[in-house]
Amino acid sequence: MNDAGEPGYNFAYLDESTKRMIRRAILKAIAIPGYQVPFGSREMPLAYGWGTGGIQITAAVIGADDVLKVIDQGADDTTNAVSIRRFFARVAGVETTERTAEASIIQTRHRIPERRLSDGQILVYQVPIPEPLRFIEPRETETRKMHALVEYGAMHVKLYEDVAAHGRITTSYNYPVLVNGRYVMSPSPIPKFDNPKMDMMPALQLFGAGREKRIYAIPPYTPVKSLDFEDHPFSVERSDRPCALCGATDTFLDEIVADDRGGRIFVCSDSDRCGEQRDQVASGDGAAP
Amino acid sequence: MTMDQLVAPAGLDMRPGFDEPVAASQRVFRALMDALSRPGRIVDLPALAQAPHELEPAAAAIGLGILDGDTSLWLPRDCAAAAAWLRFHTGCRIARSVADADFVFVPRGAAAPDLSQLRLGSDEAPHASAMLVVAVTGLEAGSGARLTGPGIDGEARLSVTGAPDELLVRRNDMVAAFPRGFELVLCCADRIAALPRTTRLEG
Repeated sequence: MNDAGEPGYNFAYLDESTKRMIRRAILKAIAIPGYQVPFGSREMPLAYGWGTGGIQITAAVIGADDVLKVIDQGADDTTNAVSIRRFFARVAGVETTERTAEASIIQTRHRIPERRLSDGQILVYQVPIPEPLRFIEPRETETRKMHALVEYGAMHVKLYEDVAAHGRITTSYNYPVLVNGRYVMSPSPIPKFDNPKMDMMPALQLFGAGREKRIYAIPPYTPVKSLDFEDHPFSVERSDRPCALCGATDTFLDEIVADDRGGRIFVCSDSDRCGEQRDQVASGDGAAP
Repeated sequence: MTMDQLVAPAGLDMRPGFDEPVAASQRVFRALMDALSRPGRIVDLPALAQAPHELEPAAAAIGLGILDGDTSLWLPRDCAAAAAWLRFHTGCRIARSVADADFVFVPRGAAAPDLSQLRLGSDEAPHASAMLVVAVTGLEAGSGARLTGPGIDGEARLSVTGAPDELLVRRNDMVAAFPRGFELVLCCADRIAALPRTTRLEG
């Protein structure tokens, strides 16, 4: 039966046996927070590196009643986000939205929305390299053992080398986290600004790496701690200027070129949040910039 | 697998499965995902008009939605009709022993199998472990045993009646060596509650 989708294709594009295989992997991932479950990643109608892991998770999870939001670096209107949103509108016939609060599923590349997500929402991350230890140890057989034995000393050495060379931890994105006190996990290349949002988040977080064929998850209300040292605690960089469009001072900003003379402005990376803030300011009930 | 293995034994009443398998499978999965990511929460599964009488409707729906030829199922010996029904609709393999099964179903009134054989995975591959789907006579949230762990905001309470003897005590011992462990799904009529291996259960 396919009454809400593209004629000639199964609902949400993937065949049912692939969906079941992905669904079983997601269930194990939820049961073992932060552990990378291998899965049989499929060829998708876009290249690896364009969010095939996230798309396969969304395809396995989505139902006709869902409302889908897709962001790329926080924005709903960039090429990758628009393509993926259109893909699911076409193959699953689902409603899509740019409003964080209205979405039941949010697929994201490299950002967590600024608005606190609620219980019942699902955040699907696109992940390029799921293994946080990969740059330290290239062999999968070894990284698997390291996770099994909680052998994470090398990761702390890597962070310590930052401290030794620069006086502080300079890793600014894809900053490793410890999930539920057990597994070191890559949060995907989100800015470390977003790391604190993962901790005890009421929404379910699912991570898909298509090329690397791994799925992992963080259930709602799960402790997620960014790795650090007692004398060099984890901290988030704050911008010293407000968003040039909405005036927000508490959001993650992107630097964009504003004219052809090299002029640059800093604006919210989260386009929905920025728009909401501007609407509020315009209607007079928000904080003045 | 030959065709005659997929066909029900002669004389068996082969009941239908889901009317709309694609949509119903998705709803079963979401219910199961919801239950596993929020331990102690009681979740409704899509109604199944004619499940085999040995199975709780919820267990039957989980079977139809999650099983296929890549998975193996263990059922007690006296549940041949339910096994034939799930094999017909999903193509799942019937495991000879609990040790070979990805999914172990324990219907109401059936003796629990030897849980010491249940697959718990290894420290390197903890996902290669079983899901135990057990029928109980009562599930109630808000009272009973105290649950804490991932998926739970503070604590949750779950009262389970009619579970096989010592099941929850055994379960606590078997999930103590995290990440090894198994997932427990408790079924009562068309409702479920789930206990992933991370859930701490007291009292």
